[in-house]
Amino acid sequence: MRELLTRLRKASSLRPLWWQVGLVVLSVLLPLPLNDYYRSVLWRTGLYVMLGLSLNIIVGYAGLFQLGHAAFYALGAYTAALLNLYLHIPLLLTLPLSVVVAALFGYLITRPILHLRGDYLCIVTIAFGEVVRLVLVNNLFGITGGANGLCAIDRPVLFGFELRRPIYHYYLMLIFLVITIFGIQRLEHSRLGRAWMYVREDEIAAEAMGVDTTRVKLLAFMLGSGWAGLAGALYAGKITVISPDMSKFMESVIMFCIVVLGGTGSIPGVFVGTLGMITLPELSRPLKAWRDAWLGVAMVVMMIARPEGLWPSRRVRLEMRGEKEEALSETAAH
Amino acid sequence: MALLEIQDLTKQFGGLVAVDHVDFGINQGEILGLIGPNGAGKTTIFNMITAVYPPTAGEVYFQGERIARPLYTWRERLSTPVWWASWLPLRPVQRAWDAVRSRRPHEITERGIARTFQTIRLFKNMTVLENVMAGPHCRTRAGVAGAIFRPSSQREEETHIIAEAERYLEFMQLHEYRDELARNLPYGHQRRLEIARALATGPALLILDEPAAGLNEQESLELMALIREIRDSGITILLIEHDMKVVMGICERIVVLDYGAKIAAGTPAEVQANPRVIEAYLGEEEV
Repeated sequence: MRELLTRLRKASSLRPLWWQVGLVVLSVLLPLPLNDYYRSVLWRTGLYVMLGLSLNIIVGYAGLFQLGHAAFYALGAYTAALLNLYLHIPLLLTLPLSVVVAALFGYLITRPILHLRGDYLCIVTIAFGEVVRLVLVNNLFGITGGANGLCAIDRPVLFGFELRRPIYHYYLMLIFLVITIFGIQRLEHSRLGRAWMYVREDEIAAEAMGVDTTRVKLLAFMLGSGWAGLAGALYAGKITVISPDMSKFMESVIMFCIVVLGGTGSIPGVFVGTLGMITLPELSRPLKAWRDAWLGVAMVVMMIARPEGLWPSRRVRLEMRGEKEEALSETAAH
Repeated sequence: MALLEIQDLTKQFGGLVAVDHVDFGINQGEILGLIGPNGAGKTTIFNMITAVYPPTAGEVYFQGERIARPLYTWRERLSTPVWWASWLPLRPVQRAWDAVRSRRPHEITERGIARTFQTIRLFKNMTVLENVMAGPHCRTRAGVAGAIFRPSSQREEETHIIAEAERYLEFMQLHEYRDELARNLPYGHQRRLEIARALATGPALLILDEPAAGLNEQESLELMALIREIRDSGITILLIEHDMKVVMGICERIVVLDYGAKIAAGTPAEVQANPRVIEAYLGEEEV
């Protein structure tokens, strides 16, 4: 398993463009021979890859803890649903607004707590996730439908063509995923992406070198939250029923695990993590019943055997392994 | 008018007075040494200049602008009209507020003060080039849209950042290690890399916190030559140093601290002859 992954990683870094084109073609062809159930599973995989990628901006690139990510996913879904149900805006047009609303909340929530570090930030984000869930359960302004949530949301309509069957939703998701990955890759290799890495590596040094750490961290939170909002709106469009359960703590934990299991800061890592956390349990019922237990076991084994994740980014691998080697050589020297 | 003017600067940590009413100025183009026994408050002064923490009392002026002052107390805040209006997203209000509030570290860097750290603080898991590319960050502007759509202005900026970083690597003779990870460099090179990174921010004043610590004699000599070269290129230098050979060799003026208070200032010869200095510091070394 480990050798396979290492070999894949090497091969993929040799010819990135070929691999990317190949993967897109594969994803286009993949659902064709499958039945609707498996197509839905594929769609779900895509959904969580998108959520994982959005969380990856916050956790992987900027190195900030976020254990309330599901709240922004729920906020996106509710924004799309409310606009659609009360103002009858077509679902696809609500997508940008979902992004904006989720990003705005991301800004408002994180602005006052950004100076907190590590575990403190973690606690506040967990609390925020719960607050959102409880507000939705308590039927805010009488429009969120309480514990039952909202139903009968319109399906997305593209040029007069209603997306009904799972495969159309899968392709819609695929389009957004390609856009997401394209954008995130470009972000990673930009001035802003480097700034995130400076902050993750050493915040004080980054600040002393003239990086506005507050701004940079806020941008990571806003982009990550906004993109989770988009995933939420796409979810609302396919399932047409949403409930406050979207903002459950366990959802946030699963998203966090996807990122950490696959390897923080790595795009292929998010795919691997989603396969382990979502696709496999979905395909095997016993595994699904035991998913929470499997999640716990997987995390423990991972932290012992491969703390940098299954498909880590080069940098995180260095951080994890390099520090260990450094410590070893230091003890050897004494 | 001095480039940097420190007035009556004081810092208390609980009951401990780390810096006690210190005044001095740095003139454009000089190399000023700040010396004193361990715990004399040298690094504390550096941290106050670079806004890592605010002074308890006193102020720092850089190019005539106040860059450090004590934190506003609630009473002061409430009696300052600009503070009341500071939440308004209006440009004139923000500008007025910017003029009176304390600065944040990155703003100090933007204004032209760069620093290195006593304990090396490189971005260890990034390459040497990426480390130095942090310098031009505050002189460039590309944001989210620039990163994703990559207009020509952004691409030009990016090549500018790389060119700039390479120039400083060349200057610090680190160019051959360009793609090496910072953590893998030998200690002396890491020190030089920190200076290269600080220079890349385009400073008017460079603050060096014990740049020669841990270097051997040969490396110290090379460092002295480099520091002189940096000064000759028009950058004023303030340095803390324990290595007396380095301090006496390159500083034109020296300020001596003991227990947080300034006890002497002058040329190396004057300072060396000062009985208080000998008592506090050099005396011990000469025994």
